[in-house]
Amino acid sequence: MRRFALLVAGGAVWLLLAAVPAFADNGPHVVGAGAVADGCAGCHRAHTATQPKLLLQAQPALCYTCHGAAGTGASTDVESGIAYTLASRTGSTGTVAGALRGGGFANARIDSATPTGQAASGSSPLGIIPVRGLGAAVTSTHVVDGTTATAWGNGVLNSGAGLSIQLKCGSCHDPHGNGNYRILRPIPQQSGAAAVTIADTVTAKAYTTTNYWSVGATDNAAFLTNASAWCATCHTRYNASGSSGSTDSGDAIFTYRHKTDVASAGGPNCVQCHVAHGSNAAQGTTSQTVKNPDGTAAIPVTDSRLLRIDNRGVCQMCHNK
Amino acid sequence: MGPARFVARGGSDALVSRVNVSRIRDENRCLAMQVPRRLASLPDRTLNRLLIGGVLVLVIGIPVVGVVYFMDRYVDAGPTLVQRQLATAEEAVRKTPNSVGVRLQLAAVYVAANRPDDALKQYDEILKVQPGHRGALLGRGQVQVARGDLRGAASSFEQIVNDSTTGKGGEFAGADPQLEQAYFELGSIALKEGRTPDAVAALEAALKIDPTDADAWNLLGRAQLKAGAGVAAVGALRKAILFVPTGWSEPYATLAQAYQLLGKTAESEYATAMVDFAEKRPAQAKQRLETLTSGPVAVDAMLGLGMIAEAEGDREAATRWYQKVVVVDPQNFNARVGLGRLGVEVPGGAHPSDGPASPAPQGNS
Amino acid sequence: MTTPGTSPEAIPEAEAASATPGAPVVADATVASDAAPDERRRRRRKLALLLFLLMVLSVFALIGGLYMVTRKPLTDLPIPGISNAKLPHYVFSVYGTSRPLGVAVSPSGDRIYVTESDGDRSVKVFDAKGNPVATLRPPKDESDHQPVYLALEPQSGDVYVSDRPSGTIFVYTRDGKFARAFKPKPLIVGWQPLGLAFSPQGDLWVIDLSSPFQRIEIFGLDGTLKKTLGQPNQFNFPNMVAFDARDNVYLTDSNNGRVVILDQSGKQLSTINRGVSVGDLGLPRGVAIDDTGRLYVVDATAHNVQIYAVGTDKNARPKYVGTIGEEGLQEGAFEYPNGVAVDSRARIYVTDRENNRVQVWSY
Repeated sequence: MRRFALLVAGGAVWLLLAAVPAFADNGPHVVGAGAVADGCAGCHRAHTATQPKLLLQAQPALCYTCHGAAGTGASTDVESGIAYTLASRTGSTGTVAGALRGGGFANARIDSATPTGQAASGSSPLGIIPVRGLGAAVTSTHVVDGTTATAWGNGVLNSGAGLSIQLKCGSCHDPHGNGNYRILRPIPQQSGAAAVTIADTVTAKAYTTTNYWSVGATDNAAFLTNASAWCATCHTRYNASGSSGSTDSGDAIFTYRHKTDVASAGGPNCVQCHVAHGSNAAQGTTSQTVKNPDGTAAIPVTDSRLLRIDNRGVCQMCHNK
Repeated sequence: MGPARFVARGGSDALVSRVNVSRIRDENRCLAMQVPRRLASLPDRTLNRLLIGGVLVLVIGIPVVGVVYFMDRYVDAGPTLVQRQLATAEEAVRKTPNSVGVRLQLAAVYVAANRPDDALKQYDEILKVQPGHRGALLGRGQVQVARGDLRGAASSFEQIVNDSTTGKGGEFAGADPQLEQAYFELGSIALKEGRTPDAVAALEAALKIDPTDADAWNLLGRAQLKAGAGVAAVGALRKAILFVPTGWSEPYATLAQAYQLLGKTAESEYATAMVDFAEKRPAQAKQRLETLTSGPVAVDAMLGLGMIAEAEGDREAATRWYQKVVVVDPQNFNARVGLGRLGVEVPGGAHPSDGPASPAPQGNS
Repeated sequence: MTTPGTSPEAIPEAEAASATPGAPVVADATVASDAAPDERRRRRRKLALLLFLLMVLSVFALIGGLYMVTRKPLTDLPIPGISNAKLPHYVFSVYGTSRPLGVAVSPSGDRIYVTESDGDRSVKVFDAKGNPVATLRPPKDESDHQPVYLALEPQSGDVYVSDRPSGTIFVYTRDGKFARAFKPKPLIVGWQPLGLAFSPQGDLWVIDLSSPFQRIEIFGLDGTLKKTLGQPNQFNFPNMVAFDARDNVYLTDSNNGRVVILDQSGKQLSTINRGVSVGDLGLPRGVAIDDTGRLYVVDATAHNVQIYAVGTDKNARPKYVGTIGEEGLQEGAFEYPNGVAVDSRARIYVTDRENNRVQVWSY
């Protein structure tokens, strides 16, 4: 009975929001035609008012039920940072599990210690960050278990280091699908920014990578032009134009900034140097002294700030001086 | 998982035992007759000894076997999960007494362990260090509500609303789930204290942030009814049941009163029927609804009958009712989705404005 | 009835009569004066009593013997008059695993094997009381490891553990020594084993998620692929299989929200579907059947275990019996349960993933 309540309720919420899923990435999230409306019952549990408002957040536990270690209900395992390829039964001899582009929340396969290559032509540096066959424990993640964290650079100029928020999987991804690349929300929850749409037009998805430096080969070109703008819906003041490295922004903390605004400066975008889920890069004794924007030390000090390469190796990939 | 059990079950055993059954039965009959005959020939003294021995065996044997049975099945369950979490969380606080996160965790475990006083102490400790900590304020407020300290709770929630940077004037006040929670709680408290206009204002503020909060719509409906605003109450309550149409009788009960206030008998009867359904009296609900299938609430009544049939597992009847609804109201969302659930073709797809469907049961996800 | 140690002859007749309240009191005074018939009656009464005692004792011995053989709880013994408990009750939990996924248990319940999806992601082994006895780990190699589900080989008690990232099934001895990696013949490149179980015939049934479509593979113990069941787009992340006494196969077709019941040839006999009625499913994961034909299906997002009775009609849908558990962290409540196993002592073992424990229920 209660499941029924939720099921019908799920449909009604959807009606009210009038947001018709356009069936972005595959998966059981999306509701197609015919009998699949009962797919709601697969995830939704009873939230009737016979109970008090549910405080216990089901994320990421709910998401990990399918996308957790082993991927018992999905090909993408965001805990281990791997995606299973449903590859041909013959032909390949390698491992069946590929490295997830965004890394994972417990493990990642970024071979952050042995990057190679450097600038070929100023704006599009060539390089390789190989993929490990064996996952390594992450040293930093976007914290998605509901604990309070700081959205660095969120807000208008001089509004402090950033807003305290509680991030969950659903803050960035819309589980019901919305036509956006990687079912990313056009407006991440609590970001309060304008919508950034990265239309998902590619049907054959590539969730994995063989070179963590290569973001130019993603399966959606629009993603590259919009990635920085999307990240900046939360990390507002990190989105900087070409001259920001030498121009005083007027902000007390984020005064001079690396250019990231792809639209105005041509790149690089955020995902060139950072991963979205979690990185296993290591931080040496010097890098550990780099403080957070608010002047505090990172906790733990070995926090890799979602960087793809050990220490500040990402700098070297372009500025190989 | 031990398939061995099934391996052992061969068909041949059964055959053998069937052949032997009649012989065994004959022997049994002989034995059954022999025993009393033998006993009858025993001397009186032996008989008495046997009697005493038998009773002794029973008197001693039953408790012994009982103890053995109990020992064999008994497992020391040890401390419960809540007790274990409590021990861990308390240890963590002892180790890092200044960590807010650790204290929040301990407070949450105290709440789970039904120790509100200890939870309050932890929340207060956090608020001493960080006076505006929203997690602590929300937690404290909820414990205070549970303890009946409505005034204290209200002041906790008001602190969240009135915070100069993250409160109602904050940059992201329009999309802030914790602020919405605080407004909801304030509305609920005001309603309990009989401050109807305050309740309406707070609940409307909550619903502005989250227009899909069925609990808030339900309370708003009650507040409006108390204020005598029947039409507004009906509007709010119908929103509540739009989101949670089954298994929740409260909004239907209030709706019935609101319709009564407006003098709408049929509508009130419909709401009363749905109370029956929500409180698991489907037979009564059906009886009431069937008399309403041609009046002003025909669509509602037929939809209700469809939901009752579906919940009872009668797919055919559910399909019939939903189809009837679609005939009268082709765009009725709940009926169309219901038909979709039942696997019945709906003209134009299960959802009125569906995009192209992508059946992708096998893909990466 | 009679006080032990007191000679029945010493009891005056009236007292003897009143001491046996069930016996008819003889009112005829003339009979009482007649010693011989009185003696006979007393003897007859004694004989009846002795016979009754013998009967009670033999029933008592029978029940005791049955218990010693089956070790099943009283309510689950096949004794007429004792009604079977309809639903099991919570007994205790096994702690010491990190977000457990799969579980297997030896028939006697003396070894409980649990796969973890967090921490060091190994297989933890416990005894019947929940004390840790061993940890199973595959040999180190250049591959990620994630144990998912388990099956016990009925003859040897060997433990088969599916490992999806490394595309392997690792085999350990009953005592936890690594034995070998199970290799399909011919080799399946990109193999993704998930759920697995031994059929009554002794074959290993494995759910494979790799291309070209998600399916069941049936292997001999030496790894020879005997047969493949399933069609393109038939199953959507099937998780686990179990067998009943009539060789029917129960497959949790997880993302399709149903249990598919197949015969040995793979022919679909019936289904238990996703839906809104009582006994319908949400996200079924683990499945197990006990030796009395009770089918247990773990519903991960409904946070409970649904119980069905497998009837005598091979083609009939199992009958819904009831549900155990609800969402929460109290004893007997679940937070995203996943795997289930049964032993022959009518105990049910359920991995309670987010509560980091394995719950043990019994009748």
